[in-house]
Amino acid sequence: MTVEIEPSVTPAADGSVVRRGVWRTLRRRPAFWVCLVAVALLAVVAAWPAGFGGLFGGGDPYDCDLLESAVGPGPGHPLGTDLQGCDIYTGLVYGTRTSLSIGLLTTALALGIAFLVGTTAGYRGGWADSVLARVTDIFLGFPFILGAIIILNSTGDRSVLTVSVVLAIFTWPTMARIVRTSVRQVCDAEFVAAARAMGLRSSRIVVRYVLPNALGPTLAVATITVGGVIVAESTLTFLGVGLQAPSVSWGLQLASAQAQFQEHPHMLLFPSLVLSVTVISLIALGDMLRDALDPRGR
Amino acid sequence: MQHPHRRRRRAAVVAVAFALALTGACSVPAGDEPGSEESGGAQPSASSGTQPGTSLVVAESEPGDLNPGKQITAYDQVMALYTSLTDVATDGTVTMAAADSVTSDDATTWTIKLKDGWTFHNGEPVTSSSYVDAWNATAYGPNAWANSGQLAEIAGYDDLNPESGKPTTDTMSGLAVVDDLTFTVTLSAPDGQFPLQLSQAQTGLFPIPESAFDDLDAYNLQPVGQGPYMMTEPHQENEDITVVAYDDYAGTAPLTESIVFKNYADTSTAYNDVLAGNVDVAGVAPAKIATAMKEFGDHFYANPAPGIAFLGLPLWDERYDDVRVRQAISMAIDRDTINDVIYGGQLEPATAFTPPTEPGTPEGVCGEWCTYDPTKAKQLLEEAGGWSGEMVVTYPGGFGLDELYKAYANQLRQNLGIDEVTTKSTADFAEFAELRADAKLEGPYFSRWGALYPSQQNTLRAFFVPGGGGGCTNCSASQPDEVVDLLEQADGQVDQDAAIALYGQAQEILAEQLPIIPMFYEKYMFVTSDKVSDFPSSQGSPVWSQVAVSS
Amino acid sequence: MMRFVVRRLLELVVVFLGVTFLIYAMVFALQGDPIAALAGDRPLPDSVVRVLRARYHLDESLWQQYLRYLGGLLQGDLGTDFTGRPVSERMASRWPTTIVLALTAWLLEVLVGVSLGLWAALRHGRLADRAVLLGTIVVSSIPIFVLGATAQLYLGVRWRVFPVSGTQDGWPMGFLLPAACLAVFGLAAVSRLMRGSVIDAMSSDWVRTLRAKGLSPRRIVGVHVMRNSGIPVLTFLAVDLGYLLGGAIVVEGIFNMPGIGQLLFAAIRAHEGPTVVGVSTVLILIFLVISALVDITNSLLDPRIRRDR
Repeated sequence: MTVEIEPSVTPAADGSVVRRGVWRTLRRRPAFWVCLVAVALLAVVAAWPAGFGGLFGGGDPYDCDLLESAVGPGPGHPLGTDLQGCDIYTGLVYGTRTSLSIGLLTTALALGIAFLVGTTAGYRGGWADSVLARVTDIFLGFPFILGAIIILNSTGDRSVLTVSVVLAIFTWPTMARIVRTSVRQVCDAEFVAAARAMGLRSSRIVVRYVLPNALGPTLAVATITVGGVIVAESTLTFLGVGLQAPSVSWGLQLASAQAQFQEHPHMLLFPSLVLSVTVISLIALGDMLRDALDPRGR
Repeated sequence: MQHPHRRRRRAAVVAVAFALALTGACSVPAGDEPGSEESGGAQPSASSGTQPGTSLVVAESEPGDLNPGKQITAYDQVMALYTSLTDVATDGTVTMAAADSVTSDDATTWTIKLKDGWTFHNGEPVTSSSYVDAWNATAYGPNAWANSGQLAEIAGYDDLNPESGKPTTDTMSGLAVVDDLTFTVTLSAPDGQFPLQLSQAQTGLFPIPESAFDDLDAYNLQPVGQGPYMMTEPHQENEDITVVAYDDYAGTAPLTESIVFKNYADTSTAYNDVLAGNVDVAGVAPAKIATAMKEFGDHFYANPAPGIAFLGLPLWDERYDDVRVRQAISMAIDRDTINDVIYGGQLEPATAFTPPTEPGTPEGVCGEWCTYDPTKAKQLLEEAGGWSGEMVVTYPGGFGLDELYKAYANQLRQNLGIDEVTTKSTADFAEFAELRADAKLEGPYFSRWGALYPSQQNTLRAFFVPGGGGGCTNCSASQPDEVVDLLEQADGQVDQDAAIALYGQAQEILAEQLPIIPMFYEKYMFVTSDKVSDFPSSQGSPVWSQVAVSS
Repeated sequence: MMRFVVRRLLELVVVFLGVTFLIYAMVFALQGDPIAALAGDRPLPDSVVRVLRARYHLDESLWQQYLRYLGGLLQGDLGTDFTGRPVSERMASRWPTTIVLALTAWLLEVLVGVSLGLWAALRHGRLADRAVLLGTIVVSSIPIFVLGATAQLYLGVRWRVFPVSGTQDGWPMGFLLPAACLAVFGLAAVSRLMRGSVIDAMSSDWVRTLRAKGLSPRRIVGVHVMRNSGIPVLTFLAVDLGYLLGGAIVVEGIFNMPGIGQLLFAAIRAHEGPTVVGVSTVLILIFLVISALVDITNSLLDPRIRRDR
């Protein structure tokens, strides 16, 4: 579901990641701007769907007319309608918020757990490391679908929040490993040893020196995760344990369009395109960010 | 990738069978194959005997138990291996199959005479004991065979299924062997529909040879029947089941020599394999109907079935107390358009409370209440005081019902002007069943029934009368007393016309009160390969032994 | 080393107990009575429900059920499903399919992923590099159910390049298409990871030294760079093998491969505790073993990791 990338962190000698050059590197790349604009546009659409939904008439994702079922692209319905006769364009616009929310919320939750677990394991080492490593293994091997069904079943609702929690529970282990590795490498650095020798408190060393250095590579992986999570949500929905109506999401559109693919390819095509463009933009941004953060890549 | 197509053809050795759960409009939970019926081959259709070398591959869902008393997901396989006592055609005509006659003067005591000369696949003759012993075993509570409920009306069933503890006997008092080919069945209450209950899909009433009782576990893997086809080896976990024509079959010889029942987890995969020529018969899921009609033309079949879809109503919620609210909900749903959009126009909007393959179904009894009229619907709702709060249309997830219930919800929202109409699917059937049993569903809900024998009795009982040795789990949320009384009277009639008249009266009351809303008469849908030249069906399901293939 | 292995084994036992209980508890917590729903919408007689509930111990408390399960496990009994079929038998009939499918997918990841990554890295910044990067991102942005169904329709049904479904065509033809769909995610990750590692290595001081010493580029890349870049890629591949063995519910469904993923999915939907616990536990054990192997390998390769053990 998520793409695991082992980071290669190279702490700078002064104990903080070199940030000065990052922006300079990024802004010179056209691809960076293309991706940034795409993501910014999505963010605006997500924040203000009403402003975009009505551009071509319609504008209410719940305004579906069975008599206009499965119409191809045309006036009034720029991307056509789905089986229920809902406007696909409006659905995509309103689904943006849901899908992006799930991607961001899941990643944020997973990052939170990952930092907690990864830093503890990496910095403490010893038994804490062993225990947390085993816990991470368990979550890696745990049947995702069982966890999803249990959680969605017991909470009784399938909202953006619950689906994000489910996805996060199975996303953090990968990230935690990355954080742990980064922290490990940072701890070996001389400046940390120096800080210890100076008698700084552990919490201070972690916050001041260790975390900032582990942050970069992890955040880069996180942008990649956002894309992966959005794809994963659609698969969960396809299996019948993800979001459900009345939510509007790209995953829901894809899951119901899949069965109609042969008769009405447009139902599958447009949501797929939007999903792909989003994921590509996010992953490419993450890639460029990581490259820029890694001094050797420059 | 331009590799030449080197795939080994699954050549000649195959046959058919298909999955009910996969079938058309009706799939519901595991095991349910509601109402699929097929006949073991005693159909009168003319045949020139078994064509040597012919075979058929049928896509099925995984069979599970094969013992006819236990099976819940292996209707097709079991019905190819056994022949029922009576046989019922799509028009409801009952003919004798393995039975020579089924008679009664009072609808309580029935005398069943068997045809002479029938043998099980192991050569053992079929006698009245084959039936009596099988029925006792199926009904015996501690065995916990799933089809036990089909025998619940026989006198003495309760002794084998006490409320608690172990039964003190293992035979039902209502069964008596008269001679080798005759036995009598005494029911605990008169039931004129009994001969229909002996028909092809009630596998709990099939005979079992004496030798089977030595090792019932082995029998469950390789059932020995008296039908047109036999199994030559035990079923292996996860493997296909191949059945071959039984040479000494006493009924009409099967046309195809062997049938392979091949397991599929996903109906659209099975469909694709028919397209590619690897499978000969597969059920069609609703989402594929439109495509199937185009791609298969004459080889697409929509068979009228004894199934009917309703919209259940949460009558424990007082907002549904006013009949006008229920009428408004019914009239706000455009059945024709939903049929066109979701079922490729293949189903039929329901106008009665039983499907038309059940004889005497009073089509049109629901009248204007089952006719789309959004204006009147809105007006009725207003007269009843309007609507407040949420309406959560609920259905079990994972059975391909999403589009149907989404469409219901959209129409209710738009045509009744209720903003808070949403849909909710449960994770599986168990969760849905529990919410329903606990009266926790918060809106109209999934409801349907596929009858195992085509009598109005079967469908109406499923919604209004506790029975079959259990409670009334599938029942409507209210069971009007008048309806229950009329059904009981109807059951007691030996004369079918009298029974039909009484069932009809019960349906008139239902139309007035509308405790459940009739939606669609179901059809079981199939596609076949070009090789299948004749695909006869009875009550929706293929008659396997009479499916003809060109070799 | 010995102490390390013993400690890892002890951890395994604790994890095993905890995890099996957790999963048992989760299945126990699923809403609804599995027996009542056994026959779908066709109700079962009360007496049948009662006997079946007793037969499968569903009327007992969670602790009783779990201890009974553990007791059976000690005697090598994994329990049965709700039709009385032994779980061990059901799993045994499905593991081969899953293992072959997973290994095929894994092989594709190794072969295609590593070569693509290497190729892109050696053409760092050029068109081929960009194409590989973009290509891998594009494929990972397609949901597996769309990818699988589309691949089946075109490559299987329309163009007849591969079998539509099933395993009856044997290896490799019967497994290639589903394995490819399954491998897409990992493949993208492997090639990107490989690319990154190789680029890192190529710009490192020691490669410069080797160049200066006059080694042929072929030898530098083929021997030295590959060996150094291999570690993160291998670590990823090891974990990914675990994922692949976890069964692919969607791919197994679309291509009708009777594997462990479908069994697990069906068992969860049917609330079959013993089957779910059996399958899940094996999966988690696989991860623990892989993780231990990775740690051992890494500690052998990199002395720093061993330091605080």
